[in-house]
Amino acid sequence: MSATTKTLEEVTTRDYEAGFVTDIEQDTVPPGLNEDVIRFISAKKNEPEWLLEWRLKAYRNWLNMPHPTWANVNYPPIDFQAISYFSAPKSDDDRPKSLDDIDPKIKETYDKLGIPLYEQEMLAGVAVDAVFDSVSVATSYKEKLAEKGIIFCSMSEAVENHPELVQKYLGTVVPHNDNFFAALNSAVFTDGSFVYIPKGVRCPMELSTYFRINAANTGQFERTLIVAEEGSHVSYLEGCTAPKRDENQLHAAVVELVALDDAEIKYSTVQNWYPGDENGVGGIYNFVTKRGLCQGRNSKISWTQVETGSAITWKYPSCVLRGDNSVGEFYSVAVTRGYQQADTGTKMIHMGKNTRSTIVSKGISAGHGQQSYRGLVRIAPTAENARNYSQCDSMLMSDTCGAHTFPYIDCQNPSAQMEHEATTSKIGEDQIFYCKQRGISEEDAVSLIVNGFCKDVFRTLPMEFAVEAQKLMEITLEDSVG
Amino acid sequence: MNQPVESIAEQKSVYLRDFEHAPARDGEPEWLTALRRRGIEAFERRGFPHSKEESWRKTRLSQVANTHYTVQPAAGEASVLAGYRPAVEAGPCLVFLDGRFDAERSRWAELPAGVTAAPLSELDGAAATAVENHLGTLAPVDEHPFAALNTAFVQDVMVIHAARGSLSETPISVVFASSDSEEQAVYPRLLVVVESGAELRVVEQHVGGGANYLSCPVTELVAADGAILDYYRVQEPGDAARQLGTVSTRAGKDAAVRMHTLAAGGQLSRTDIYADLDGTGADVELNGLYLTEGRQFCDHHTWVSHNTEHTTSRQVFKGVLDGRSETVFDGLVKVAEGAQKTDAQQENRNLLMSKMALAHSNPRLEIYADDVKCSHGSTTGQLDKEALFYLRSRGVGPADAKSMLVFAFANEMLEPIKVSGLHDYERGLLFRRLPGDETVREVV
Repeated sequence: MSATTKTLEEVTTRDYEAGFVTDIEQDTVPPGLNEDVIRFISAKKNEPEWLLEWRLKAYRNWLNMPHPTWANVNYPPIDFQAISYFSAPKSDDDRPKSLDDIDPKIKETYDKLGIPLYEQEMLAGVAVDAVFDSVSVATSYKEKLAEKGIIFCSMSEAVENHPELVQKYLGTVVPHNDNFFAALNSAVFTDGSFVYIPKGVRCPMELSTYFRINAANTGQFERTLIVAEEGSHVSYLEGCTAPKRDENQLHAAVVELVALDDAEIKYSTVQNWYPGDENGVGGIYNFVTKRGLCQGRNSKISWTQVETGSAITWKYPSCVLRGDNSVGEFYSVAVTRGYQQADTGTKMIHMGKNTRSTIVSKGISAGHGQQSYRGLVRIAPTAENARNYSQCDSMLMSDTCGAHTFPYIDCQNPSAQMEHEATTSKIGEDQIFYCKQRGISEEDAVSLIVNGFCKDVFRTLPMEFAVEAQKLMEITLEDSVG
Repeated sequence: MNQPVESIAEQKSVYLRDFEHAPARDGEPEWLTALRRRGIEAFERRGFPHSKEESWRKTRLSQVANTHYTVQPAAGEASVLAGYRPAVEAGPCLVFLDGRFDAERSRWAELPAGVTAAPLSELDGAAATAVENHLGTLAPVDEHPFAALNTAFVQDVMVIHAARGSLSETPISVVFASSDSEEQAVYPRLLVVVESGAELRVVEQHVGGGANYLSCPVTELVAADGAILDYYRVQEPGDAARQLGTVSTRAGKDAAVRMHTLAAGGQLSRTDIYADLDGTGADVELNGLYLTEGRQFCDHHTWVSHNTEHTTSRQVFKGVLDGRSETVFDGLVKVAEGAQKTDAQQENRNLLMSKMALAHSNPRLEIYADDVKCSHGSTTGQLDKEALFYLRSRGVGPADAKSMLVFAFANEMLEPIKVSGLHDYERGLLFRRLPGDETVREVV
């Protein structure tokens, strides 16, 4: 049994033990959450006073917030006092010794995805001391970015080196009291990514957390902030297609995007965290708050996500379209199989004139997977000539899975045009038959049909990502039909 | 809107006290007393919904919870009934005033063979037994606090029973009127039982005067195997009225229930429609039109449950919103595990006529079976500028052009009405809402 299959309690207990094993006492705090823990985290990271105050405010708000129950997911109550909120990176002794120690299923997937061995080891968290190619690659990229004035670093570095930028934008899109998990994140976040694109700069490459993966252990409470100044452009990739091993069961990340006049941010996610074993034991809880603010005129924020992992996904990448003529997009493919549950969707808040939003959500359920699309489109009275198009399609691949749709459409301006469409279907026997009689095997036929179903979303992914995502889909849904 | 919890709890206890001090109901059958008790207990457990409750989030209940509405000892004066003409001219029409049967105002026509229509207080025989077996079995007494209040405080129950195999094209009309008494609570109740193979048409109408009253109508429609029920509901509560009601139906094997509702009027109105498709081949159709203006709030929640294989449902709700009115359409289609070959469609269209109107639309699907066809659609917008331009370019005045387009939009919902008198009546209601109604009347 690999470390990933252990339950939350087991994992947290182990963290607890680790707290005593570590030789330097200050490097870790015992499980539990109180103001002292937050002060400790803040002090540990040499944070300025305002940030500590902000964290404490978030914490005090969080204490008064009830645990949300509205999502269509089931899980045992989480004991927030059993989690250790700051721990030093795992020592090599705790990690799997080699790839032989990890779940053979994961290893199999790595092989199918064609991931090089050393990357496999890195993803699985195997203790290795070889220097990866990607590290040097990352360094050279950093130089190139610095030339253009682009800041791409970890959140801690940003707080230290660019406090004025962080202070100006942190919490402006997702306030510290936004929701239960966002408040928790604001109180205890340990690290994340910070991106700043100066005025008029077009980022010359796709920025990816992948390059930072072994530079810093971002932990379970990740905080990402991306600011695109006037007329700038950036494409950001989060995650990767390979299943990633992680010690923590609860993940509550916050991502904030700010786009000023004429700026464009494209944010792509491929999430493939451990979904639990075939009986639904273990797996990551992924409770994420992602929101983008189109603050300036003609700005654009585009979210693309491919969600195949995690036991529970609870995620609504949203756009607040404040600037006139701003554009919000949301493209999503979510797959649930085994006992996975996903409650995901988006919010499009139209405030500016002539704002436009597009929502394309494709859900695939197999096995005992339960999947919900939950989305809000709100047209404020000020949003003249707003336009929204929503489409959410579900595909069911077994008679024990479920697909649910909960769209909320609130329209307060008569000049708005809104459309919402949803369909639910399964792979037709006639479709399979058609493929088979033309010499295409059943497995290939399924993959063909599924990829056709997801094409609208994959098309919006960066090229290499799209190819990987397609491959991932094939592997994920293997043996799902029949 | 965010009422302190204590004051809502206080309001709840007022109703519990009212129940304890209610005058003795002599000669009431024991089962009915037990049912009342179940109602008040359910209300005690449930209380008024909190504004944070997902399904009540948008309904501004503080208006209701802040006032103590009481049942009047006797029916009051009803200005609304002076010179009132029921929507349907043909067939029997039974009138209830403040929840009490009003024999004088009712119109007695010959009942079709096999059909019984009478208030519970005047009932015996097979129909009375049917009441005991069905009353309170469909209404969401435990979930819906206002259905619970109705069950606890109901005055008289209107019962329509169609015997096995009976066929009737003559509609049975029921009018629930409210008098001019201020701050009174009215609890209209209708039970329709269509036995297997029977066919029936029922028209239920709600009218009221200008008083601030609370009406909590509860309707239960039972369609046994192979039964066909056409049910029409016209809601015209008074301008200051708050109406919170439920309609529940259960369709057996190969049964068809076609429901048509029109909501106009009332300060606040909410109708929860529950449909359970329990037998294979069951078919349910829900059509609704809502016309709002001023500061009206109009809410429709539908809960359609496909509980077995080979069932079909179709919902179309359309709204025309004017003034500062606000509407909610929240429809749920639930396909149970194993309910294969379900075919469910859901559609909501809102036409915004004013800048300040607000339409909420939540068409929801919950699907636990894989071999199903389910779709939903929702659109919200204003009149098509090009269509307006087209009409204007052909010499039609702005008001007339607008009226013609609104009429075309809304009339689709009136087309399937099979009761001719009702069709004209509802058209009349629609015309009254159009700015250039004369021209449209001539054109159509």
